[in-house]
Amino acid sequence: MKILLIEDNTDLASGIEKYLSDEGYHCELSQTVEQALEKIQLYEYDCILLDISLPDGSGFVILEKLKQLGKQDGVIIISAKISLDDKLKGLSIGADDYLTKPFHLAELSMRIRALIRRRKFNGNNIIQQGGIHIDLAEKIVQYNGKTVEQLSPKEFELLILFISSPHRVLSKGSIAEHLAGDNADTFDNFDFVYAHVKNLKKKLKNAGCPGYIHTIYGMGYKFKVEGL
Amino acid sequence: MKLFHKTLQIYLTFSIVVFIISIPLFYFLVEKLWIEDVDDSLFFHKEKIIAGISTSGIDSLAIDNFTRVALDFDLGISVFPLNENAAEKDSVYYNKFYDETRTHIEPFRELKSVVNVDGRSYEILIRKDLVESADLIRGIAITQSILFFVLLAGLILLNNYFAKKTWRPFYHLVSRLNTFRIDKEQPIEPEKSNINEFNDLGNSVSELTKNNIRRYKAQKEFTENAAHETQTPLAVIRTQTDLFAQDKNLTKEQARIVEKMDKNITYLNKLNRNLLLLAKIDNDQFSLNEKTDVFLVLQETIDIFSEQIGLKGIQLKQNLNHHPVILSNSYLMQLLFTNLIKNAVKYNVHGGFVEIELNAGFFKIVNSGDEQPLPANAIFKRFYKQGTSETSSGLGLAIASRICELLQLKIEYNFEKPNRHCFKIILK
Repeated sequence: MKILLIEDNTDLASGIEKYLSDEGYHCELSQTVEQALEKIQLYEYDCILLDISLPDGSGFVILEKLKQLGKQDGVIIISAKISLDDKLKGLSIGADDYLTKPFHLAELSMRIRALIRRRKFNGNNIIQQGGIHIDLAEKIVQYNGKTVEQLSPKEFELLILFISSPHRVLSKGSIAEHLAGDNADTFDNFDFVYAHVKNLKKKLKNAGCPGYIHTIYGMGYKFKVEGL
Repeated sequence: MKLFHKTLQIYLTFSIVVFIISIPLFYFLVEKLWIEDVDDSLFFHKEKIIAGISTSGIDSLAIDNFTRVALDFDLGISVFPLNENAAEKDSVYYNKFYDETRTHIEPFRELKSVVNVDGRSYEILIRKDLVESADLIRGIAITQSILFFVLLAGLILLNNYFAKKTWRPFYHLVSRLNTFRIDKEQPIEPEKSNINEFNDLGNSVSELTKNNIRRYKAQKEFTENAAHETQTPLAVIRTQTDLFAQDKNLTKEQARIVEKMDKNITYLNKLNRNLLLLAKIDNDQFSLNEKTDVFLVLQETIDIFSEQIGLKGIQLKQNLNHHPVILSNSYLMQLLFTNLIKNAVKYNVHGGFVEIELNAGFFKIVNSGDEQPLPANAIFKRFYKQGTSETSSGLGLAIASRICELLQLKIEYNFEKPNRHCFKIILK
C-alpha cells in the first residue's frame, strides 16, 4: 500500500512515516505543494495524507489538481485548523476524511484502513482478524461462525479500533477520544473506557473468542492475535 | 436630569425672580414719574391762571362765575378771592372724592395756592385725577406677564431648537459611546460641529476607540495565531509519545510518564480549541440567522450524553414540552447545551440527578453536586475552575455565557438547598 504524506513539519512527518511503515505501508514524503503536485501526476497512491498549511501554498490546490486530473487517490486532510468551514471545504473539494492535529497515530491508522477498505475493495464491508468476522453494514460480529451478542455502538467502534491497530498499544486517552470525541473530558478519569473494554471482552469471551485484548499496565490496551 | 432641562430650569428660575421684582419696581417708578408730571402740570395751570387774572383784570364776580362754571363742568379748578391779604406757601397733596358718575372713590392730586395778583389775594385750588393704584398695578402686571410668557416661550423654543442643534454632536457621541462594542471594530466617528470643544471631544473619543480597537484586534489575532501555531508542535509531541508508547521495553514507571504526557497533550489541545472557539465567537464568524428548533438541538445533545449519564448512575429527568424556534446558530446552540450538560454530568455526584426542562420561555438544567453554591459572579469568567479538576479548561461556562451574549439570551445561575445547581437560559 502506497501512501503520500504531504506535511512540511519534518518531525511530524517522520513520526507518522515510522508508525505507518511499521504497519506495512510504503510512505513517500512531500514537504511543499510543488513537490506534491509533481508526485500526484506521476504516481498513484492508495491514500494521500494532506496538510493544508504548506510553506508554498494551500493544500486545497492539491485537492483541486487531483480532481482536475480525475485521480481516484483517497485523501485524508490533516490540519491544525479546527474550523468547521475548512473541514466542509476540504470534504466538498474531494477529501474523504478530515483529521485535526494533534491526533493519535492509532486514530490515523484506523482512518487510513477504513479509507482504503472503502476505496480498494469497493466498499467491502467485511473485516476479518483472528477468527473475528465483522460485518460493518449489518453491525454483526461473529467469532468462527458464532454470532457475538449484540454490541453497543460504542463497543462496536472500540472493536474496530482494536482490530485496525493490532499489536499496538492504545492509550486510554486515545480510546476515550475516539469514543467520546470532544466530550472525553466529561469524566475526570477513564472509567468509561474501562467499562466499555470490559463489556466488549465479556461479549467476545461468551462467543468463545480468546482473550485478544490485553491490558497494558499504566498505558492502556493492546489487541494481540497470536501468529500475526 | 437632562442637560437641556437643567439649563432651562436655571433660566426659568432667574426669569421668575426678575419678573417678581420688576412688578413693584415698575409700579413705584411709574407712579413717581406720573406724580411728578401731574405736579408739573398743576403748577403750569396755576401760572396760567395767575397770568389770566392779571392780564384781563377781571373782577371778583367774574371769578365767582368762572369757579362755578368750572365746578359744574368738573374741570377741577376753583379760584376764590380772599378778603385779607394773605400769603401762604403752595401745598400739593393727595385727596380723594367720591365720583358719583363712576360710583367709586377716585384719588386725585390737588394744588392749593394763595397768590397776590394786582394787590388782591386769591386762593387757587387745582386738582387732577390720578390713575387708581390697582389699575396701575394691574396694567403693569398684565404687560409684564405678557412679556414674561413671550420670554418663556422664547427660551423653550431656543432651547429646543438651537441648543439641541448646538449640542447635537455631543449627544451623538454619548449615544455612540453607549452602544460601542469593542469587538464590532467600528470606531466612533464624531459629527462635525462649529464648536471647538465638541470637535476636540469628538476627535479624542474617535482616537481612543480606534486605539482600543487596534489593540483588541492585535490581542485577538495573537490568541488565534498562538493557538493555531501550538497545534503543530502538539501534534509532533503526540506522535512521538504514541511511538514511544509502542516500545515493548517500557517499564511501568515509564508507561505512567507517557500516560501523563498524553493526558496533558489532550488537555492542552482542548484548551487551544476552546480559546480558538472564543476567538471565533469574538470575531463574529458565526451566522446567527438560522431558524433553530431548540428542542431538536437539545434532544440531540442529550443523546450524546445519555451514555455518560448512564455510566455515572445519574438519573435523568426530562421535561421537554415545547418546540421553541429561535433565530440563532444551531452549531453554537448545540455547543451551549453541550457545555451545560457536560458540566451537569461532570460535576455531579455518583448516583445523582440531572433535570432538564424546556418550554416556550426558557431552558433549565438542574443537577445535584456539591452542597456549596458556586460563586455566581466568577463561574462565567474565563479560566474559572471548579475544585481541582485536571481535565477542566475553565472555559466551558465562559463559552456558554459568551454564546448566550452573542445570541442575546440571558443565562443565570441559582443554587437551591441542599445541593441543586441550576442554570437557566431565558429564550426570547
